[in-house]
Amino acid sequence: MNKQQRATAKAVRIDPDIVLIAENLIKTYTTGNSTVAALNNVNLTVKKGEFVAIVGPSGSGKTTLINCLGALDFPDSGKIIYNVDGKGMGLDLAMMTNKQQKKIRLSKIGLIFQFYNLFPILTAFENVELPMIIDKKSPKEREERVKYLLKRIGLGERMDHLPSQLSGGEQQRVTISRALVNKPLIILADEPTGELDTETTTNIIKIFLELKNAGESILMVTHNKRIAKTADRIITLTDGVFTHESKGGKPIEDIYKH
Amino acid sequence: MRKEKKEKKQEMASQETIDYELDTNAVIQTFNLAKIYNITEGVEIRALNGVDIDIKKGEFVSVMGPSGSGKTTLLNMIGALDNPTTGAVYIRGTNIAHMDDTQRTNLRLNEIGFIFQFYNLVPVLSARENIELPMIFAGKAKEERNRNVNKFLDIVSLSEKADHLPSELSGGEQQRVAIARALCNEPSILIADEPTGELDTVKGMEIIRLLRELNLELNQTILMVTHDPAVGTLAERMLKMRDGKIIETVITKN
Repeated sequence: MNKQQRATAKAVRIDPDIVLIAENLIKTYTTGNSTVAALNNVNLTVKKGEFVAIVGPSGSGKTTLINCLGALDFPDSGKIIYNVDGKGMGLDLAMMTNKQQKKIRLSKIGLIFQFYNLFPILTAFENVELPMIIDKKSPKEREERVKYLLKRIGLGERMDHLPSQLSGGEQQRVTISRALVNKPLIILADEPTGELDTETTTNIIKIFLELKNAGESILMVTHNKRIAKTADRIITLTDGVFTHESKGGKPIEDIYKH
Repeated sequence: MRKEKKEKKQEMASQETIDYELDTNAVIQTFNLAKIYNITEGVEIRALNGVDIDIKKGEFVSVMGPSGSGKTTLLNMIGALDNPTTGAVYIRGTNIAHMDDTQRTNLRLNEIGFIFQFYNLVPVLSARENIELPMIFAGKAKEERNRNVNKFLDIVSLSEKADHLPSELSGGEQQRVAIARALCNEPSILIADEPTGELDTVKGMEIIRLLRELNLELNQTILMVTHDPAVGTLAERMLKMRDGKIIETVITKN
């Protein structure tokens, strides 16, 4: 399909209360003579305001899934439909022009990574501001939004600090603010607590729960089954296949109790 | 009482300046640089324990040592990413402790280019946009940004992948984007922290060869930290570190 055809591809109507639909996602990697299916027919729907956790060991396909949903990588086949206007206009990532994909990546999806991915030579403020600069927002709008988010997440006093002057938990709070800065449809978090100790992990999950209660939609992949239980739904990914789904909603205070 | 303290502070500051013998040819000089972390009361770790170095324009210097020897701490001090407990860092004759916030920001953006082990590219931005970033923050005009992006993409041989995302690039390619990003504001010093740490031997050597070319052809001053002796010996001068100190200086045949 050429660029022109992609640009004119029609949107589909979807349930306005749904943020994201992934259908029949398949992604395979070939190394030498062997082919590995990182995603083998994955189907997923995330509703507005829902917190979904996907658990699985390393190599189960979690990061591939996040990268595909985040338009950082593309499935071999299948659809990834976002409710782009929030009112039920569904657009498939594969049907978008490069420009539309870029817009989605920058302003409709908030990505959070295990290793924070902050730019070390920029302050917390500047790191959060970055996606807004690229999205050509005005300096006034940027300053208001960045200050609001950093204050809300408890970093109001540390806005001018560099990543190297912040703890791991603080750095991850900067990336959460950065993910929220362009008011995305959904937060996609890849092992957001992978580098953090238990107490800091709990604090980060508390922030996710607060965001969920404020109406944000969150999809988190993790190998940490305990923290996954705080999500509304927990889906197990094994060798590229969803093998189990259960209800969560466990209070954060209870996750380390047996 | 307060006045006394202030006077004492001034006295110390002036004393520091007097004591340091500045080398006018040096791009980087450190004097008795130390970083001490107080873990709990009475327990301290000396990540850096009195480091003096002197690096001249166009030199390619490596710092080698096991993990925990203080290498990264040293780079962070020189790059104004962290503050020393005692001692001083001079970049082209200016003590960075005496710089205000604007000067330090300017230093990080314009005087020093950084590359890191994990590349630290922004995942949602293309190679071109990642390279452009420090120039946006440095306030360069669009035309100049485009010119420099193209120039440095060419230097690191990635012109054809300019619009690729980091996830679509190999580790070696990502590190080359990071090098182009570090150079785009034409810094006087390139600081590299374990630039080959995530790469296989062949890809790692390609990166080191590229650094050496930049050093020889652009007269780029480079300070590189590595734990790999094969990488470290490719610099002109190798500083060996252990327990926060430089224990040996090796002049290689390069």
